[in-house]
Amino acid sequence: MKKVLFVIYHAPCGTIWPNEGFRTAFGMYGEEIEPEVLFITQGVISLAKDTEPSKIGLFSLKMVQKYINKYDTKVFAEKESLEKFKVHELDENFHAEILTRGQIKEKIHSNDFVIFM
Amino acid sequence: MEKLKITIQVMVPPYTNEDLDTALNIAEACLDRGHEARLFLFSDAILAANSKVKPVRSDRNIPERMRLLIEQKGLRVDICGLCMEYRGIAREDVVPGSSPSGLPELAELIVTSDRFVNLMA
Repeated sequence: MKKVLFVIYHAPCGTIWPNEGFRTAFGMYGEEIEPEVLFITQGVISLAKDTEPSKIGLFSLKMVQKYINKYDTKVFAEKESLEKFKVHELDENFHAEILTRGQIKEKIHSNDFVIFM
Repeated sequence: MEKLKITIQVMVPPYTNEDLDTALNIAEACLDRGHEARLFLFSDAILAANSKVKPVRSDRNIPERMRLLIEQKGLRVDICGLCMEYRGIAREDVVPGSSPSGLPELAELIVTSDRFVNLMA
């Protein structure tokens, strides 16, 4: 079983990458891969309770939540980025765990591959 | 020297960013040293496999370089098939020797590769 960490650093409005990151992670379950998804920098805005790109006609981000539940995909967010971008309330349906930058270093080393998206 | 399987995934467009050039440079260096090189094109990077692009003479012809690496050095190129459909690229448009593919094949490459490099601008 290989562990693969998908790191998303782009904002949810203006790029497809938060959505694509999740979709790619879900696509790993057919193989012997355990995917996890980590949000850093502007990517953490994706996890905010009031972030809804679909309200301005963009691709929905909430649609991934049912697959997070289905696959029990682990989701993480960087504490320092949440503070920087003033994300005070996370959407609980992402089940995101908050990690400090120091913990993220350990998280990266504990994975076989890290894919930035 | 141990032969390694090296997969390079690219996700950004070929004529906006230069990640495709980097990917082909890495792939060629790997092939020249006797390793197996695989290229996985995802999202707008699939445009690099469109054999119908016509860059100006002074610019790089990325699909043509890809074709030569496939034919002469054994590079294997996988293209996300869904990404092709999104962008209106048909199977007959892509560089000969490249293969429409998908996330299951990407997952298999991740499992079976000794090294995995992803290029994302």
